[in-house]
Amino acid sequence: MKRVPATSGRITLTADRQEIDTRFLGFTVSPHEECAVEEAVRLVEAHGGTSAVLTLGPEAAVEQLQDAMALGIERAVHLVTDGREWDPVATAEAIVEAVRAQEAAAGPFDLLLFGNEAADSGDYQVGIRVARALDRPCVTGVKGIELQDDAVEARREGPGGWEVFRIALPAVLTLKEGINLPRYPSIPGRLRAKKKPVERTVPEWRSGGLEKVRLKLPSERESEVEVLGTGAEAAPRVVEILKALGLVRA
Amino acid sequence: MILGLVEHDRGRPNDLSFQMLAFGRRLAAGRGEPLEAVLIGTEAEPIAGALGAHGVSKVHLIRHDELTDYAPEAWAEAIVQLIASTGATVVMAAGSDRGNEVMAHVAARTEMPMASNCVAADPGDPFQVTRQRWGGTLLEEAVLRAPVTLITVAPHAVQADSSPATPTEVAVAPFDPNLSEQEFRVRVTDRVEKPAGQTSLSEARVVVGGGRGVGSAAGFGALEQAVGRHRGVLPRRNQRGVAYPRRSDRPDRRAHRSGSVHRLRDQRRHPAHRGVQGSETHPGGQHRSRGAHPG
Repeated sequence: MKRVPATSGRITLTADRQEIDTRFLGFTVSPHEECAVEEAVRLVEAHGGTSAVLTLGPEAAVEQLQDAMALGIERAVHLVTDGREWDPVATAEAIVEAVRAQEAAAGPFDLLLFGNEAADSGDYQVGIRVARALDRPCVTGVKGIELQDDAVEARREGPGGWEVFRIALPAVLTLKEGINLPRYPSIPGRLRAKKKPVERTVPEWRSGGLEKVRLKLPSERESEVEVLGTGAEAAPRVVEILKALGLVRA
Repeated sequence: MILGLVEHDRGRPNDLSFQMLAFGRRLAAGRGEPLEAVLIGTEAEPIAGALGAHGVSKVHLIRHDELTDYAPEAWAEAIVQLIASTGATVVMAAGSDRGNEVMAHVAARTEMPMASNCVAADPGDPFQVTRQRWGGTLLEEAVLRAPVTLITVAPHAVQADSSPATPTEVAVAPFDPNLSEQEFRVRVTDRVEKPAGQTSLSEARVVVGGGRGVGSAAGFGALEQAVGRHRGVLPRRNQRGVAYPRRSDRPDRRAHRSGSVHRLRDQRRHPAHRGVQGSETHPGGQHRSRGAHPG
């Protein structure tokens, strides 16, 4: 999972236009990844086993790891960065190294869950790159999981309905928000989380070939607000608009 | 040569691919290179003839007995082999779920970077892109350093253009990739079709929201009437009358959900309560959607 600024409405950039100005912002977890954490907890509750959470981020990202452990994740792995942004190639490489080290020490993971895309960078590729490097099947955009003996059935929205994929374990799934409704951590959960282990590693920053030059805000779209009226007197204008939208035929 | 993946589902093209071709056409003109397209599976062959109007000079038709339905790794491996065969310098797809997925697989297999959801490109050296972040509420200017440029085009970054001054003839070149069983380990194994007449939020052309202003679950009556009259769809609700709990009602750090919501692209009629996940409640969703009218 990834620690991201909790933006609300208008985004402000730093003077060098390299980052979002977070001086007055809190931080949270990318929503798809928040759902992935919740799904991991639910899978363990339903089928047994254990779960771990991993993030690549600055020292402060331990807060998000503890949030995840407060929900029921047993342990955490923190790939500590100096705050510089990592591109998706480099991020995937660091995660692969960490997964290999974890599996060498504690045995293989049955499932690696990712968010479908990070809220901030929207790269859509880290989970797939990890799956490729580890030679595991990967289904993206998952909104439903059913574990079977040595396989997992993953559902996602597709053209005209749901697409169903049945793949062998171990596997990689990238999840989309909406697969579940993440729970809130309890106070005892938060207290327990502080005692759970966070394993730290400091990977070396690298570039993967996609180099950010600068950030910029999109040009404002001109918009106009028209007050249609109040109560019943607004109805004729509403009907006009519905006709214009093709919702109502004359 | 610039190569665009024209995405389809069992022979039905995705309209976002035509937008991608319009983007590719400008890029091709800027580089002085031809725009060619790739169609995967013989089921897609009927699409080929229509691509000339979108500026495509040649269509590479991927053929394989097992390519009967969507299989992301097989699609990607076929494209990787086609790149090697044709020497494509830029490969692109629509920034759809499948487009991003297939291109990410191509990038992983070729160990090259990929820029997703681009809204502009400058085909110089190095290749520069402007791409969406935070669901489109922020843009990033970036450079891609790779032997082959891999990008996806953000939905609605450009309009599809199917009326060229000089329509081009389309040559169809079959391509038979060497695909192993491994490439088909991920494939659509089953489908649950939507009941006839239903429209999903992602397909809705118009979304009508009714927020807390309606007062209570009973206050949604007007919306429900509209659904009945106009053959719309009402999402699943909970006891509070909310389609899904509005995430931003939560009194904590999750005050605004972040950039994952961008599915309101081609709305049809879809009266929805404000609070539907991935819809009009999020700035990113609003920014990238057209014609969303939160109530």
